[in-house]
Amino acid sequence: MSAQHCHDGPAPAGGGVPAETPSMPRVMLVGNPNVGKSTLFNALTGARQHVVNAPGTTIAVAEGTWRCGTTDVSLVDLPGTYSLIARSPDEQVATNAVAGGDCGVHVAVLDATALSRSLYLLAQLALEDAPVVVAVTMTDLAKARGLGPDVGALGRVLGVPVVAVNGRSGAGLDALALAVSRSLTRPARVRGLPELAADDAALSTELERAQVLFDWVERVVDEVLPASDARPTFSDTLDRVLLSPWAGIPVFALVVWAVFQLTTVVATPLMDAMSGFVDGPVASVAGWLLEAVSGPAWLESFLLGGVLAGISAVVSFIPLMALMFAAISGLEASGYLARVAVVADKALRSIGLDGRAMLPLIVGFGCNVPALSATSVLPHARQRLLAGMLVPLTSCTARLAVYLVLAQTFFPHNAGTVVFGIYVASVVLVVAGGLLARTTVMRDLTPQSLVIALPDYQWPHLRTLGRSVWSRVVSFVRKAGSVILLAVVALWVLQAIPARGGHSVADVPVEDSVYGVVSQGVAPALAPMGLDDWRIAASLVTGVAAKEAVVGALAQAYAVDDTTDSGAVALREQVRATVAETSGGHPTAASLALMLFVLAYMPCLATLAEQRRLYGGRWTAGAAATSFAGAYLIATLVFQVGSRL
Amino acid sequence: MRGPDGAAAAPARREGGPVSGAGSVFGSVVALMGRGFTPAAAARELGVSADLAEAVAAEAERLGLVVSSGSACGTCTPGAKIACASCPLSR
Repeated sequence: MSAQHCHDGPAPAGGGVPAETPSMPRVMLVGNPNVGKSTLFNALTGARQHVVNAPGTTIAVAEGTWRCGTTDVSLVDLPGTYSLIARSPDEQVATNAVAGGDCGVHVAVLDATALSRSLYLLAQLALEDAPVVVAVTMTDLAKARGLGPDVGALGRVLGVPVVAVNGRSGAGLDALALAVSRSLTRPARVRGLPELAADDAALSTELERAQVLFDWVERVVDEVLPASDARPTFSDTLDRVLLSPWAGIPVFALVVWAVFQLTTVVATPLMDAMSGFVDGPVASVAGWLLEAVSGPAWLESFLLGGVLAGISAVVSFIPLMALMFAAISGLEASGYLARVAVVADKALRSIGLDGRAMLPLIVGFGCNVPALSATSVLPHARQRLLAGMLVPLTSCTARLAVYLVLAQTFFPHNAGTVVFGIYVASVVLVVAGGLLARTTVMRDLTPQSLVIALPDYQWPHLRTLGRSVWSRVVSFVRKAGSVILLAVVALWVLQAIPARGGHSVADVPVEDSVYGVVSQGVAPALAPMGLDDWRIAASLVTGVAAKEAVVGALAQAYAVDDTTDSGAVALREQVRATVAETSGGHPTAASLALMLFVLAYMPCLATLAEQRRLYGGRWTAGAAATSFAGAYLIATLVFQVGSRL
Repeated sequence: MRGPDGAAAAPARREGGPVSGAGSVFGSVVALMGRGFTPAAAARELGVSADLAEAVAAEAERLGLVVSSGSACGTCTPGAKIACASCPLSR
């Protein structure tokens, strides 16, 4: 068949597709995305095609002229859609075109490697009482996979012409043209569907319609596809263990503990080395360069004490974050992390909480801001509100950096286990918060289960894993880097402005600066936790802006400038000495109190802003106040009890 | 035969669950997914093709009955969206 030149069609009249040229019948290609529709369209119409935008949209629709036997037809390549219940502008164009009814024949393009999905769309098309010819693509691929459908049987079952085609090789195109030209005079319609009209009131919901249509798809598939292998696979066997209520949670806890152990043990020397490099040779070179250009003293202080301190804080966290991201990416790529949601769903429902809240909460362990967006999976506003109030209690990655420094400082041989314990505390707080809400302001909620599409288990591909880790590390450096850098620069400025003592700007002891004086005013409030120190108070205040800035603020406050030793090690030693003093000789209890306080005292500003946008100022303020009060009480209790043990 | 969650695998085609329409392949697949079956495992359990179960899962997701672990917040691009870098579920 020779390809015809396309001609310019008239401007689209409405309904989403170009109006046909008078006297030329219209044929539409309908099918799922990626089934080979466009390849088929190109083969049928030739290289020169006319593309127009569907009216009122920016969706491009291709139209061309196709010689079908002795008849020229206007062929339209509709956007791919999985269903005639549109969920996107592209799909809406296809839906409108099918519903428009002004089409001679619909060519339903079915993918032989995913026949069921294609048949579902065909069933919906058939409900529109549309004349149909079926073109089956990818039959060679399907045969290679052992999925090859019996095309002849398919035609007998459907009651319409069915042609196997290959747009690349041209196979079957003549047979398709013959089938379409015959259908233009004697239209065929799919048979065997239940007797119902497209707007049948008895099946008024999309769900009911889907149930009926999939039952029809199953009957067709049973006739035309080879029997599938029903033997249990390795995934099935593994899931029997990992999804069981008794083994699932302990196994997950073990996995998380192992991840923390791995990252703390491996990351710690790397972190020390990196910050030592920045605080050592890099700082020396920077100092030498500043001396060479004879810059003012305040500039040296700003660059070395502000900017370089910020860079050191960011750089030192890269090994930790890279290892964490590698672990998370590996667990996610293997398919395991999605199982956690199923395991947690059962556990949550057993205590009356909605299992569907698990997804946003899991996201919250990465970052609270997108976790708030994830609450949209919950269908009811009050459920979304409850989940949104619990999200800040999930310990995000930014807080992990703080725990790690503190755990390495006070529990150098058990840092991983201590950090794991803080995460367990986070889960306990989420559950406790949920139970409290369910028994008070959210009594009317009915928990429902989470139904999640679980992927099969698979070995992660190293290259894909590497790319995932790299993109996550780059994103972390950009986000944390800009936050921490901004914070330490701002802190340097506040530390340079004198508040008492008659000092000049940039030549003031930290304790007499604006930063120091304000922090000293806040510090006594931390005395019940054994943390009555202005530097710790200052870092906690900074942490309200962003948790990533807490460690940087601590380093800034201690003004570590001893470049002969690793900055990170010197900071840990100074913090240890401070807490030993403020706690009256009970640094273990005070350090645990500090970590628990950091866990729950206040969401970061970005989280607060997103909560306010989603739920309003009243709920956001109430939740923040409750969280702060709870964190204060818990931290105080931990120190007061722990210091007496 | 037992399902992935250890519970006895009763004739799943007659189950109810989150979707009404006991006996429909659509309802049966979604019910099994609610118990932690992957679509492929649900297919094996029900004796239907994996392709059919995958199609049911996809349509159930479109209808809002099923969530995909990778689309919890609506985006899944850890490289493009900074806040998603540390998300456990992003790809």
